[in-house]
Amino acid sequence: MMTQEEQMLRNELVRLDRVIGEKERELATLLATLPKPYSPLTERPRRYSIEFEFEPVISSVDSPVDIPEQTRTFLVDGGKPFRIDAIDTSLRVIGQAVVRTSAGALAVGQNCSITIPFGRCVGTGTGRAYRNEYFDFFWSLRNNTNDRQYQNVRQPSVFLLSGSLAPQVLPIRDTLPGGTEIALTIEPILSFGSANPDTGFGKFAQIRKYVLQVSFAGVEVLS
Amino acid sequence: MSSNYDQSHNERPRDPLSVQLARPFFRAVDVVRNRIDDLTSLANKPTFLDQYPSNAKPWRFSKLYGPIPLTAARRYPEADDGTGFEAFALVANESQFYAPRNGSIYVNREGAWHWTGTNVTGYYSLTYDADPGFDPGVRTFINPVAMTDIYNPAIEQNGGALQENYFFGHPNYEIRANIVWDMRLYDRKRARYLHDDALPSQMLSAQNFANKNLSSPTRFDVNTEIEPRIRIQEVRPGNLLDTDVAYDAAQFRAYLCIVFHGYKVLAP
Repeated sequence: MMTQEEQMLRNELVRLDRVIGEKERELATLLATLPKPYSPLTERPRRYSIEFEFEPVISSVDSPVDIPEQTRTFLVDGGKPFRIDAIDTSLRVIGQAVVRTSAGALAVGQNCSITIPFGRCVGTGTGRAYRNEYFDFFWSLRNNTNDRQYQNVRQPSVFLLSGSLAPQVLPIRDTLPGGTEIALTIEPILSFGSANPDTGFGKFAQIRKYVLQVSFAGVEVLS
Repeated sequence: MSSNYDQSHNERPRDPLSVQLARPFFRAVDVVRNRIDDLTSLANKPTFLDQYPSNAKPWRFSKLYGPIPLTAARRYPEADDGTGFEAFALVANESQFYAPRNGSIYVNREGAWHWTGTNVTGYYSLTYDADPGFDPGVRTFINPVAMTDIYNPAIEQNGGALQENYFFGHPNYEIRANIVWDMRLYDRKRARYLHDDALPSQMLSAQNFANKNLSSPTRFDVNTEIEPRIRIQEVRPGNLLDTDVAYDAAQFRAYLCIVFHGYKVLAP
C-alpha cells in the first residue's frame, strides 16, 4: 500500500512522463524540417545558358541612342527539378580585327572574336579597356512560373559575377520544379561601337556584336 | 518526506545528501526532471519556424545612394590652396548621413529574410554647366553613356555618367575616381543601431569587388525595417577625363549602390 506521499510522487512521475513525450515529439518535428544531407547519387550537374546579342551603338553626347532591353528565358526540363547553385557570366565581342599592312598602316581585317573577362580589363597599361567601359547594363531575374522576382530593383552588371571571374553563388540554392520558366532581362545602358579603327580596343577595329552569355549552374535532382 | 524538499513551489532538492538519503522514488523523480530539463533547454533555444528553411528563395536588396555632390564632404581648410579640385582634401560632416533613395530594407509579411552578404559598386555623373571648351566626343569620357538616373536612364545632352569600379580608398586617386564612405545599419522599428560603430566600405566588398559574405546569415523578422545609412568622408573625381580639363565647369555627382544578398524563408 502506497502512502499518500508516494502516491503524489507517482502521480508526478506519470505527469512528467507525459511531458517527456510531448517534448520528444516537439523535437522530432523540428528535426524533420532539417535539410537532407547531400547525396551525389541523386544529383547530376546541369547548366542552363541564355545568350543575348546586342548591336553596338554609335552614340555621342550630341546624338545619343537609346538601346532597347531584351528579355530571354529558359525552361527547366520537365520531370526533374533543377537546383540553381550559381550564376556565371561572360561577354564575347565579335568584330573585325586590325591588321598591319606592310607599309605599317592599320587596316580593317578579317572577323574575329574575343571573350572579355567580365570584371577585369583587357590589355595592360594605357591600352587597357574595362568591360564596363564598352558594354554595361542592368539586369533583373524573375521566375515566371511562380511570379517571383529575385531582387527588389534592377541590378548593376557587376553583380552578375562576384569579383573578377568568380561566379555569383546564390545565398541559398533555389530548387525549381520541372517546367519552371526563368526570365532574365538585360537593359543595356552602354553598347559602345565605333567606325573608327583607332578607337577600337585590343585587336578590334570594328565591334559588330556583343554576345552576353549568362549560365545558371546547378544540379538536376534525380530522385 | 525530506524537509528540504518543498514540493509546494516545485523546487528541486539543492542538497545532494538529501537526494541520497531519500527514498528511490525521489531519485527517480530527479532523473526524470533532469531529462526534462535537457529537453526543455534544447527546445528553448531561440527557435523560429524558419530556422531550418525548407522553402527558401534567394532575395537581394539593392540600395542606391545619391546623387552625392562634391560638397557632400567638407574640406580641410589647410589643404585648400585653391589650385584646383585635386588640391582639396574632403572630410565628412559627421552629423549627416545618406539614406537610400529607394527606401529602407523592409522585410515584408511574406517571410523572414536572412542576410548573407554584401557587395558594392559606384557610379559617377559628370555634367558640364557651360561649354567646356573642347569637343566632348564619345571617347572623351571614360564611360560615354549619358543618363540622369541609373534606374531610369534618360539620356540628355551634355550629360555623362561614369561607372568606376575602383572607387573606394584607391591610393592612386588621381587616376581612379574614388569615394570614401562607411555604413551603419539602423533599425527603424526599434530605433537603434544594429552595431556599435560604422562599417568601413572595405568590410562590405571583397577584393576585386567579390561578394563579402557574413560568417553566418543574419535573420531579420517580418515587419523589420533596416535603414542602411552611409556617411561620406571623401569624394574625389580623379582624372575622369582623358584630357587635362578642369572640373570647375562640371557638376560632379557620385552614386553608390550596395547590394544585400540573402534569402527569404517562405511558408513551407
